[in-house]
Amino acid sequence: MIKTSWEGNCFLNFFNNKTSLGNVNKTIFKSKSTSPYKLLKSTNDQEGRCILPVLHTAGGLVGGDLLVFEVNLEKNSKVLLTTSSAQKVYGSVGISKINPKGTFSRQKSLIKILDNSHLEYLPQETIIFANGLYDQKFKVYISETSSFLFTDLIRLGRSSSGESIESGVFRSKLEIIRNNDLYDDWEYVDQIELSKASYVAKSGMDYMPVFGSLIWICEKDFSKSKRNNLVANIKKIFEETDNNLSIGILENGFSVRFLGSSSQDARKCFFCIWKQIRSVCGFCEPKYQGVWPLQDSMNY
Amino acid sequence: MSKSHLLKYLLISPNLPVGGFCYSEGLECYLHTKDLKDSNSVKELIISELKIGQIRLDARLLCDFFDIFNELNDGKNLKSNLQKLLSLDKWILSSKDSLELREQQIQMAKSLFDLTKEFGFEYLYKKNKKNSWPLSWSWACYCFEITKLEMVENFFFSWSANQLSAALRIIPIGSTKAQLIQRDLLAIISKVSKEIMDKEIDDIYFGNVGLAMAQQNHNELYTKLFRN
Repeated sequence: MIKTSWEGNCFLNFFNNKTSLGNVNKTIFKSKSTSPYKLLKSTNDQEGRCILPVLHTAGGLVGGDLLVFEVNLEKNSKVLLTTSSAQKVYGSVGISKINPKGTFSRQKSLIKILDNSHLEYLPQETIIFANGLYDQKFKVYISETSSFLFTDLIRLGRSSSGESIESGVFRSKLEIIRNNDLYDDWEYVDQIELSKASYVAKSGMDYMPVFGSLIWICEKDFSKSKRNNLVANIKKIFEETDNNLSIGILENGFSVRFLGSSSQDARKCFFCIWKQIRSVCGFCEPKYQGVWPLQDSMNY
Repeated sequence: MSKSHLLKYLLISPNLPVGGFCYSEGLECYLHTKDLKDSNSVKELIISELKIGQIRLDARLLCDFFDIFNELNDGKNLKSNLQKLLSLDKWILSSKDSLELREQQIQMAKSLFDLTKEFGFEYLYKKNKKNSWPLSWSWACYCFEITKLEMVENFFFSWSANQLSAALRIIPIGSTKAQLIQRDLLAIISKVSKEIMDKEIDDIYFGNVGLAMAQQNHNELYTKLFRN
């Protein structure tokens, strides 16, 4: 039988190149990937952080597509992973006469962050076209001395032209586990499904097409007072916007949610929060990269 | 103490520590932000939480814990089951992304464990320092020999009764109207309970994101309701 779906995988192994010249440790990587994945040129910032934009060359996902994404951060590495364009999920329900119910396209991500390493995973938004079916799963293992920043921005339908999700479904599962020999020590679990039911529910999205999450898990011994200051600063950011934003304190970190109609607004807010996180961790301020989250030439 | 099917009524009694809690779980913040003051909005909120809310995940976990208690009692897979108990307990607590909601669950779980102990059913296994509400509810039901379906139904019923009781204190509903809503919820509770029993944890997602955000924003709003 001819395969009609596309299966691509991308494996990235980041490590600290101690032999590099200069005072800063530089994070470099080895990779293996198959189409539609393609890696753009990576750069390093002044702290040696590796900035890598991943490109999905297919231009979108159709039912049955499967992407497998595996990332390892060896000890003492810093990485900013992003994507070069928004991910598009095309309609699947009612498209094929053989399979009118449609098929989910899926992305499975496995991320491992070893000691004293910091990963920022800030992809561009995912747009679920009318009747698109998408299922993403993230499993993240993180050591006690490491941190993880994650953002996820979803738009249901090309809402500016009046399109909605219709019979489409966006499903996302994020599980973050702190290493523990005795049992799985969960830091954060999120199982979200956005469909028409949640789009129209008043206690769901209430007809707002853009939903975003920003999850930050810090080192286990991260100062509680620093974290509380950070949360207070983030609440100030909320006051400056008309969008619906909220923040919840996690055992080690926090979760921010955005609900609104503009993904640009969401990016702006998330960028401001990201800047605050960098500052409180004693890291350098994020700079314009030409890709997300700064592809808009706006004044942050 | 003899086990009787009437024990299940103790669990949902408004007089016992558990029923006596009156947490609004974001309801107050939600109604306030959206400027809703009518009983229909409360009914709609409870129904959508039952249909697409996080409470479904809690309910599913009840069944998983219950099955583990059964297996442990039969001496099956001791080591892996004990690990699973600890892991799932932490898993469900980690899915609550507001501090207030976690603290509420931890407090309610502690009270129910204490109560079950007084009834003669001390928890037999190793516990995390902080426990989830479903673990304690499942343990009580297991000890009281309540069937799995009844355990889930009681859980939803008790939760919705608490939400209504909180609503009574926030907006002018009147207790008759609240009773009418509760009656209308019965059919949905019964349907959703059966659905949950047939699903796996991995199949249950939530979409009630507006309420989840209201829960996170709850500490912004002055209230006596969130912590009794």
